[in-house]
Amino acid sequence: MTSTIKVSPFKIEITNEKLDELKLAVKHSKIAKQVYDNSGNTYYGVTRDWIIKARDRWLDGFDWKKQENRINAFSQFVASVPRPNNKGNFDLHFIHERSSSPTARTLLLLHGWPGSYLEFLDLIDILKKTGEYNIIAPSMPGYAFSQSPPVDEEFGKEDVADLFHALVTGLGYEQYAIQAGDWGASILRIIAVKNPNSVRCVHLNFIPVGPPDGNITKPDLSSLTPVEKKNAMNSMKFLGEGRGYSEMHRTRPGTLGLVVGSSPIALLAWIGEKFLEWSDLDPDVDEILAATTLWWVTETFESSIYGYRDATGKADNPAWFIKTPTAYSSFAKELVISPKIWAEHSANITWYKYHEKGGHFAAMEVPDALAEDIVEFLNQEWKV
Amino acid sequence: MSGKPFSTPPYPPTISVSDFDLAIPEEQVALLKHLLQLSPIAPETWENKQDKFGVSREWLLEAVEHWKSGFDWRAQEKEINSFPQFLAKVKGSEPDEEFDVHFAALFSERRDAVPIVLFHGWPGSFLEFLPLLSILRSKYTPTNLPFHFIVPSLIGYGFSSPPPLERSFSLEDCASVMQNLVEGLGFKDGYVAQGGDVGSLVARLLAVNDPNCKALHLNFCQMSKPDSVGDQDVSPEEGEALAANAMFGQLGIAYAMEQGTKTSTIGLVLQSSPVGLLAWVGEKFIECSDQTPSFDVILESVSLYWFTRTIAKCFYPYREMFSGSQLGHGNPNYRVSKPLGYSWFPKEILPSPKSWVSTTGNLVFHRAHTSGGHFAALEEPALFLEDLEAFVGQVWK
Repeated sequence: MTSTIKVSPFKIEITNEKLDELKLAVKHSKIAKQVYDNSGNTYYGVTRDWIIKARDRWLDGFDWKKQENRINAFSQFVASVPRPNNKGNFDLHFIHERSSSPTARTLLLLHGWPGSYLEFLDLIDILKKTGEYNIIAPSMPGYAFSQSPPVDEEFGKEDVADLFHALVTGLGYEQYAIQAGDWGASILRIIAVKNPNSVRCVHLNFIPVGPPDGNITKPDLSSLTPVEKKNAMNSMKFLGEGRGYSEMHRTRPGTLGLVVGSSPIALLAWIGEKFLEWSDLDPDVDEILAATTLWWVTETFESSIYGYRDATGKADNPAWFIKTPTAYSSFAKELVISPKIWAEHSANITWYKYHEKGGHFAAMEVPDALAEDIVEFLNQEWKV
Repeated sequence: MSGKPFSTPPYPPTISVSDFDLAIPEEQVALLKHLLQLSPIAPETWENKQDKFGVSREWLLEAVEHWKSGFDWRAQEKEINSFPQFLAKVKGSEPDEEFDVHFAALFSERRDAVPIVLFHGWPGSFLEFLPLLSILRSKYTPTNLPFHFIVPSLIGYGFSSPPPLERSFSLEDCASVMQNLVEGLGFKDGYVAQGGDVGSLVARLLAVNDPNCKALHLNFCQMSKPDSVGDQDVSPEEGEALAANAMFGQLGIAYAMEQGTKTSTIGLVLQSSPVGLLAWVGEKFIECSDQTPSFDVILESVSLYWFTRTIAKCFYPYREMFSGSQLGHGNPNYRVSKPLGYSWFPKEILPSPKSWVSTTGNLVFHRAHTSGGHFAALEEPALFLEDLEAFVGQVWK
């Protein structure tokens, strides 16, 4: 198996200068006074108390180098990947853990927003130990150490999908499986639909579809189980009250990127809120600080939100129905939880499991459970 | 007593009222400049090279540069302080609640002067009305000014108190405070309430709840089309403005959703850096005005929010909006039976036609203009004043 694209090894090496700059920027950031809204009702977002605690930890106690060492234990690379239609090459950063087994199956892991490839580290560890997989976990264009989208033309999800397919095949793999959540799920969908001969099977932990009859204001919940009904209600609550951030991403990314880019505390509040609210159990604050540090030092927040105004690859669009065998792992604390019978209108679901524990960041929160699901599904659909 | 012209309240107040001047400590002014030097500006992206995704990076760089070196806060402060200002201690609707209420005013010495109370919105402030006050004090003297103009800062804005810490504060609570302010200033023979943006709801609440409020003037009356109004009951200009309105509804309201549902997060985000605050607030001045105001005007407003640290304190009206509140111009429970006047400006972002507004009250006065936008008093003070004088002349007996 040979690479047809240029690949260079990569290690994260954030300079002390950059880390000092970050600390200084944190110190200069002002914390809002206490008001009713920020005093403890986390319904209104991150609380003032949490921001202060996280900030204090960031300045004293959080050890980026320790995080960096952990990340660098994985095999990272940057590849120069050709874009279709002679649009030139594009640098993609990724983890690539190749198995020594000749029958190893290739698995592409796609993160979302405000995620990163860091979400997959525990999962990769678990899957690596089996020796049965070649694992590729890229950073989306505009995230971490991947190149940012061009500044003089529109760049969307299909561009991302084409790049990732070119990456995997460029590394020498003819067939592969994909796992994704959040908007990685849209990318997965586009890749699978466009490249049915290359994609053996796909695993999703996020299939946000409404009822098959399209009636989202008064959905017909009669054929759902009690758990499914409860989840549908929670999903509608999220769609009603939880989309301020995505509407900002969709309509005012210029302003928002400049706002969030003006202070690490602004960044911490904007993305920290999601880590806390969208997870089943609150992640460790160091995990959130590691992610935020990576966002800040790579200056990538503003280049990460282009996907929100692009409706390509939407789960409820019949043009993007996934014919490839699909696994659906549904986690109880996911934001929009479609019951299996609704999700079946969006993909050829051949494997399904519902989990009581775990939320939106499944790979980060419950890596063992997710790994188990992936292994079982791949053994079903991609027999060695 | 400050000795400034127009600064003598006409009646002895029954609440504590003291003279007020802005005096931002020098160290805060210097710190702001220092922070501007240090604040990072995000790199260039496809999105921030355009105008359609909010403020452009280019605009922000220019604005920050002006804020650092061209903008003179002290000079602005001096100009603001040329207007009489006061700080009153006013009771709220809950027992034991008392608020500082800041207001600018031009008081007349005429016994028959008509009190008009004008309410700003978000991201506005009392500053929006200073050009209008400026025209008034050039046009009249304290002995012949036919009105008292009172311009409060809403609770949570400017130099007024923040909302209480222990409970959720509403616009109705804010209106109660304002009602008590006006009463405490001794205006027992009635007053006219005026409002735009969030302030329009405060003004309407006064017209509905305060027997002492005799008339209501609005330059903003956001509502859905009433069932009783036909699609044809709009002028060509009104129809054009409604089409622009529809675009705003699709693409322009994310800020309100965020402010209303993640009030804590956005308050913390925007208080963390003056540059972030400038981008978020500046966008509104650019997008919602007919002609974009000068850097000085925008920076004066943003500086006020920055120095008073009020950006995290002012979002309660949005929280209310997104929590199922029934308060709205279109709700029949808030119909105004007193004389209602409406000034329509073509670049208002949510420009209700006359036929819609007339279902919300006893509409006796309507003017449609060919210029001006959301910040009407700021953008077109002469037209705005003309309308007010004509409205009051018509309805006040």
